[in-house]
Parts: sequence; C-alpha cells; structure tokens
Amino acid sequence: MTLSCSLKTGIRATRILAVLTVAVAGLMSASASAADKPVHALGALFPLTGPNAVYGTLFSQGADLAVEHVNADADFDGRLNIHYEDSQALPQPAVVGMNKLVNVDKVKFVLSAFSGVSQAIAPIGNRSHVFMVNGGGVSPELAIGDYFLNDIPLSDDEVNALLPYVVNDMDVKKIAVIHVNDPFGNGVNKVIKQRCQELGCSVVSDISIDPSSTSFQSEVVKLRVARADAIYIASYGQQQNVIAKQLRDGGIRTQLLSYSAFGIPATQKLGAAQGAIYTAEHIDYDANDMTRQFLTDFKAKYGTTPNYYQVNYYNAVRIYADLIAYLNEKDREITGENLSAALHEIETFDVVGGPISFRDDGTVQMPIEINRIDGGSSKVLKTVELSE
Amino acid sequence: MIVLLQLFVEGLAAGSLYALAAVGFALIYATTRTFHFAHGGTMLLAAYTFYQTVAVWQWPVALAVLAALVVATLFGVGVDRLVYQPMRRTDASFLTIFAASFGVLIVVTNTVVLLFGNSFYSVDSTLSQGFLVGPIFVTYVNILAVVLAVLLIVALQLFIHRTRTGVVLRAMMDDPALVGIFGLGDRRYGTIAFAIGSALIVPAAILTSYSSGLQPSMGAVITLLAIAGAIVGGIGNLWGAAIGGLLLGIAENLGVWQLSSSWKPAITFGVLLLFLMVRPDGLLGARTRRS
Repeated sequence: MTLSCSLKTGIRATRILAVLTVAVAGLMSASASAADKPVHALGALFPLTGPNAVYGTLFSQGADLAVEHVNADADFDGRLNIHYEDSQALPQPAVVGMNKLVNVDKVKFVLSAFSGVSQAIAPIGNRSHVFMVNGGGVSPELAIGDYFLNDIPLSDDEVNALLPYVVNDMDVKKIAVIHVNDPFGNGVNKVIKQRCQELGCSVVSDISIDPSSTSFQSEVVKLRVARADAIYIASYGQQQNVIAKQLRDGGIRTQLLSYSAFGIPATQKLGAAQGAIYTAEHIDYDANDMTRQFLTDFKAKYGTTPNYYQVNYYNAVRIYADLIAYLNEKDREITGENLSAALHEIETFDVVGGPISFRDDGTVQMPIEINRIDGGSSKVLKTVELSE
Repeated sequence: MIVLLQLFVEGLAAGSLYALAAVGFALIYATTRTFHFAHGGTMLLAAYTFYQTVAVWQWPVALAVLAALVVATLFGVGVDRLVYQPMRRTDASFLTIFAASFGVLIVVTNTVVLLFGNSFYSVDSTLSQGFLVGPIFVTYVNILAVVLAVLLIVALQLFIHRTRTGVVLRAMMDDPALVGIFGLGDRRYGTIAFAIGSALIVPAAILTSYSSGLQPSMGAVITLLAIAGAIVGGIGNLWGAAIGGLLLGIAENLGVWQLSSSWKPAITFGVLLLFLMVRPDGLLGARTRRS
C-alpha cells in the first residue's frame, strides 16, 4: 500500500517535472527566438503632460499600433521598441529629451511633433545623424531637410490649398488672422499674408497671442472691429477651442478658418467650431491592404476611427521599418547616414492612405482636403492636388 | 474710439474680478499681517469645485455656487488654522510664513493638476454670451462681474463699519496685538478675516469659469494680480485695493489697443512698478496712514 502510493506519487512527480521541463524549454526557446531578433529602438518626443497632452495620446496611438504590426510581421528581421520622452510641446524639455534619446538610448530614428519642438531638436538630430520624422507640426519653417522629414503637409501647403478656395468659391476678400506667437503661428501668418497678396485678398488684422493665454476678450474686441469676412485661427490644442468659444460668445459670427489641428475630436464636437472650414491631408482609407488592416485594428484597439495624426505616426514608424528592411536586404548597417540614403533610393513608400513621396526639402507631397465641421464631424468640401 | 470703449468695458469687467481678489487679499493682510500668497489657490479650488459640481455632476447652479463657497471658505480658514497660526505661535518671520504660503499654492496647483489634468475647462452657459449696446458688445458675465463686485465691496464696507465684528477687524488693521491684549481673541477674528477674504474671491472664480475658462496656472496669476491691486491701491486699504484691482484690469485691456496681448502681464506689472516708484504708498495708502 505504502509502496504503491509512493510509486504513484513518484510517477506523478515525474510527469509534473516533465511537463514543467517542456514548458520551461518552450518558454526559453520562445524568449531565445525573440531575443535573437535585433531590437531597433526609436524615440518619440511627444507632449505627454501639459495642455497639449491630448495630442501626445493621439500621436502615440498611431505609433504604438505600427510597432505592434511591424513586430508581428514574421518577415521583418528585428523588433521595434519605442522610447517615449515628454516634450510638453515645449522646446526646452524637448531638447533635454532629444539629448537623452540620442546619447543615452542611442536611437537612430525619432518621432517629433509640434513646430517649436521640431525646430529645437532638428540641429541635434542633424548633428548626430539621427533621422527625425515630424507628423504633427506644420510650420513652414520645418522644411529643414537633411535628416529631418515631414510626413504631414506643412501649413504653406495647407494655406495654398485653402486660400484659393475661400477667395474664389466663398468670396472672402478680407481675412483676419489670430495666431500664436511661436514659429508655427508666425510662419502661418507670414504665408497667409504672402498668398493673400497674390490672390487679391487682404489681411485686415493679424493678432499674435501668447501660447499659454486663455483669455481673449481684448482680441475679440479687435477682431469685431476688423469686420473681416473670415477669421483664420492658427493655434492648437485647448487654446484653439477657447478662441473659437470666446469669439462666438463675443457675438462674432464670422466664418472661421483653420488648419489640420481642427481635426482633433475636442474641436469637432465643440459647438463654437461648427461651420468652421479647415484643411487636412487627404487620406484614402481604401487605398491598400495596409490601410484596411490599419483601420480595422485601430478601431478594435482604441474603439474609435483614426484621424490623420494617428495615420502620420503610424506611417512614420512603417517608413522606419521599411528603411530597416531595405538596409538589411542590402546588407548595410542601420545608421543615420544609411537611413537617409535609403530614403532617397526607395523614393516612394506604400503606407496607410496610399503611396507617398518626399521632396528634397523633407516635405511630403500629398493631396490636401478642405473640410467643414458639421454636426460634430467633418465633411470634405474639396480635395486639392498641389503641384511640386 | 469704439475699440477703446469696447476695451474699456472689457477692462471694467476684468478689473471688477481683480478688485474682488485684491480686496480679499488686502483684508487678510491688513488684519493678520499674513502675506497670503495661497489666495490664488482659494480661487483655483472654488473654480474647479464649481466646474465639477455644475458641469460634471450637473448640480443646480445655486448648489454649485454654495459648494464653491464652502470649499473656498474652508480652505482659507483651514490654511490659517493649520499653517499660519501654528507658525505665528512660534514667532515665525514674515518671510517664513510667505514661503509656507507659496508652498501651499504650489501644493494646491499640483493637486488640481493631479485631479483634473492640465487641460482647459469651461462651463458652457448663455451667461458668457451677450448683446449689443449701440456699437459696444456686452456679455452677461461682464455685467455680473461689475454688479457683484460693487455689491460685495459695498457690503463688506458696511460690515466693517456697522457691525461689532467689523469694528474689531478694523482695530486689527490698526494693531492686531492690541486686539489680543484687550482679550478679543485676534486668532478668532483672524479666522473671520480669512473666511470673508476667501469667500470674496468665489464670484471671480465662478465668472472666470464661464468666460475665460479654467487652467491650473491661473491660481498664481490671480494671486499676483491681487497683490498688485492691493499694492497699487495702498496696502491695507480695502477701497484702495478695489480701485487698484479695477485700475489694473482697465490698464491691461486698454494697453493692448496698440500692443500685442502678450504684453498684458508687462502692462500690469509696469503699472505696479510705476506706483512703487512714484507713489509707494499706493493710491489711498497715505490717507490710511494719516488716519
């Protein structure tokens, strides 16, 4: 009885041991195969805190999904890993974050956002030969080139698409501009003035505001007196919503114009922003299998439809993966110089929304759509193909 | 001309809210000699309480106003009882109490950031809309700001001059130690001053949540404006603080007639600097000293 019992116990123990051994071996082999794949780190300088943290969340959703997709791709030799740093959408913390990404994390590729941030980190990246892709900032000054790439159309492209439409189709002759006093806002103001002059409209008032201001009563006074046919808001984040609200509260019913920042959900749902016309890059959500896969997985993961910011950062990561795959195929080392060379050799990238290419100054070439916010969502009024 | 008039109207409304903040600060300072830098924290808590109750929890406005009033008063009294009074008992210097007050404001600001984040919030209401009076656009918030400021500051003056508590508070403005010697309990009356001063900032908090909206950084801004208003008006003089706050609001709005709005803080503190150099006692400060 005792012998049979201890025998059974011994057999059971042996079986458990065998199962455990197999499980551990399986785990070890799985982790070994994962560990065998080279890890390609990339950095992301997004506002994770502060008033523009809402953008950081949007941007990282696109980037994270791309990393998931690339890592799940059996053909891709390696694994991507994002190192996030909080830029707070401000140049100074961004420079600190960029230095850490370049010198400590040793990344070869950085996702950037916001014009001031991008302009601040570009010299560091160019000096260190670190490839940077901006998918959120739209200042015309971001046509930096070298190691700096934009996969979002810059505001001069957006203004070039919008102004002919509002001047010719909407008979807008007098435009007022309220813009943040930073590289982006000043750049947009400059482009609107130049383009308006060419098209025969006039900028009757241009008001610069502090990026941290939330009270615009005196600006509303000036804009009311300007009697413009349309008011262009060149701001971002919560501030653009505050401006729209205070303009409407102040009795100004003038047509509002803006750029891609008006595409964020908070602005789309804002009562004061209804009827606003804004530009954004055109994305064909039925362009290819990758786009359809992206759309399905994005909705499943985040429970919402993606916007162009999420597409841009998804695409930026996919471009990095394509560059790595290209260099691996050519048996070349993954360095900033080789990434830059590969970009010029590949020329066109098949990404979400269809193929995109880049100009020599690092700007993307893609169609721009003109939208109107209506009932909490956007309706496309026109799609404009811009020439070289 | 219309622009200037419209800017004057906006300045009058903004100045009325600054006046309430400055009078509250001046009352607390004059009676307890406490440089209550955390006064902006009171506004922050009142404003976010109002937002949370009326916009998120959908309480009736009257109940939300009451909640903001209770939170602001309890905070002011609590800071006095738990921070300032123990420090005063150990003969802490003016600078030490000031540093503690500054610390309280930082803690409150960070607590608000933790609870609500750094995002901008505002309370949607028809109150922030308005109507044209001739060529001038006036919002309901503008009217409420001026009316409430006048009513509350006059009511405070009546209270100070016509009630026994008010008389003791006035005595404390002259010499807090003397009030203690007479056995009137300067700590108790100090608490009353904190309660009234904190309650005075509540209308400013609520009206700001309707008009400009809320951000955690506004606590420090309103503190600086309250201090500047109190100094420009003549530190320790309640009427002076009211006029000082009003003057700053008008100056910063008229100032942006030809300048960018980025200059607003520079205008405010330029006015303060000017007064400190030309009339260091403030507008009504000298009269107070003579009396």
